[in-house]
Amino acid sequence: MTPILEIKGLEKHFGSCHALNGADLTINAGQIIGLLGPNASGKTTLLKTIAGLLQPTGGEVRYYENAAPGPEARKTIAFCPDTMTFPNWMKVCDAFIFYREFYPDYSQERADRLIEILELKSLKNAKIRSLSKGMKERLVLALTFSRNTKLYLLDEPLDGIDPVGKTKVIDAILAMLPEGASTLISTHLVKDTERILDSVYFLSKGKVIFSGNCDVIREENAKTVEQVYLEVFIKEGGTYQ
Amino acid sequence: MPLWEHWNLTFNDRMPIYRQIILRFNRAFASGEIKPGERIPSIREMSALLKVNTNTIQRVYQEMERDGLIGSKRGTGYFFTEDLSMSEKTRYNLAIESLHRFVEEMRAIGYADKEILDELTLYMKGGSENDADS
Repeated sequence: MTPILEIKGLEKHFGSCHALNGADLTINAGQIIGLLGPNASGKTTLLKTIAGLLQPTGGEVRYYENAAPGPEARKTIAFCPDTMTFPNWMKVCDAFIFYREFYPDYSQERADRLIEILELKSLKNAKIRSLSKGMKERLVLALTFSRNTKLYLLDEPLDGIDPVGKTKVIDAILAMLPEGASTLISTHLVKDTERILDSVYFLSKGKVIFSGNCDVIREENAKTVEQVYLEVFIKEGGTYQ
Repeated sequence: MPLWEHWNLTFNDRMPIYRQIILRFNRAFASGEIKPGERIPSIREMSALLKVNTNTIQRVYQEMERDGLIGSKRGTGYFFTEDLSMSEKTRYNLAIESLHRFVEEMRAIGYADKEILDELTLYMKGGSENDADS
């Protein structure tokens, strides 16, 4: 397996708050990886640091193909934030135009397929601010996967989405992840995602406390990943969901 | 052609997902839901139909190919074997597995082998007083 991204001892401090406390993680080509942890465990900070939106306080993020960390490497990472703010005037179709102008790896063909899978067609002319939370999430996911790249970072893509919407999001991820590309999905909804995950990392207080291949975890523990998740976090004594 | 999208697999026990899918394939093949020589969807298509990772399906196809259950023809995709004896063999293996589970379960609750046989005979005659309600 070829690693496309490696993180070693990553630290991110906000004053006295250590959001990342020596996190290690490897992403191999062609994998769907779950970054699992309760609220405030550092998931968003980790994704933002990988995406290059935050500067790490310590440790390193090594991008694939020997690319030096920096704007060049980051251009090939598509980040799907938890919440995205759009200007008040912006319609759904404007957001796609914006992405098309902004990202050279944008593909209209991919965008059209995503609009279909995520059922955004009838909303093309709707103002984004008028969308429900769930539809907004779907839009941001569609925009992210409209780019044809090697690494997709999804921050809580299932949060605030109803059960039917969840299956559509899962469909979109499976259908639109290019061959050989990888995605890192942060979530606390283990049950909804475990069937599509190759491997998982459990994050607690800015540190990876457990990781492994999902098949191996199921086999060795004779439990689902969700059950193992609950056990690990109850033992950890932190809050969990 | 089986209605793959109606397989509705729920993966809630300890077994790795790929193995649960293989079992489902075996069952479909043994029961005739999948016909010998039938084409099966590509890895990508199957992943979308069953809503699991492509790597999982890849592993499923790899193992089934190794077991001689499916074969791939260059450029045209994957096909179930035309060998009828394979479907018979699969059917037999599944039967033995469920017998094994049944016997283990009966022994675990204290049935002697003779009693198991008697109980089974009675049950098959439809005369069992212990017919489960559930």
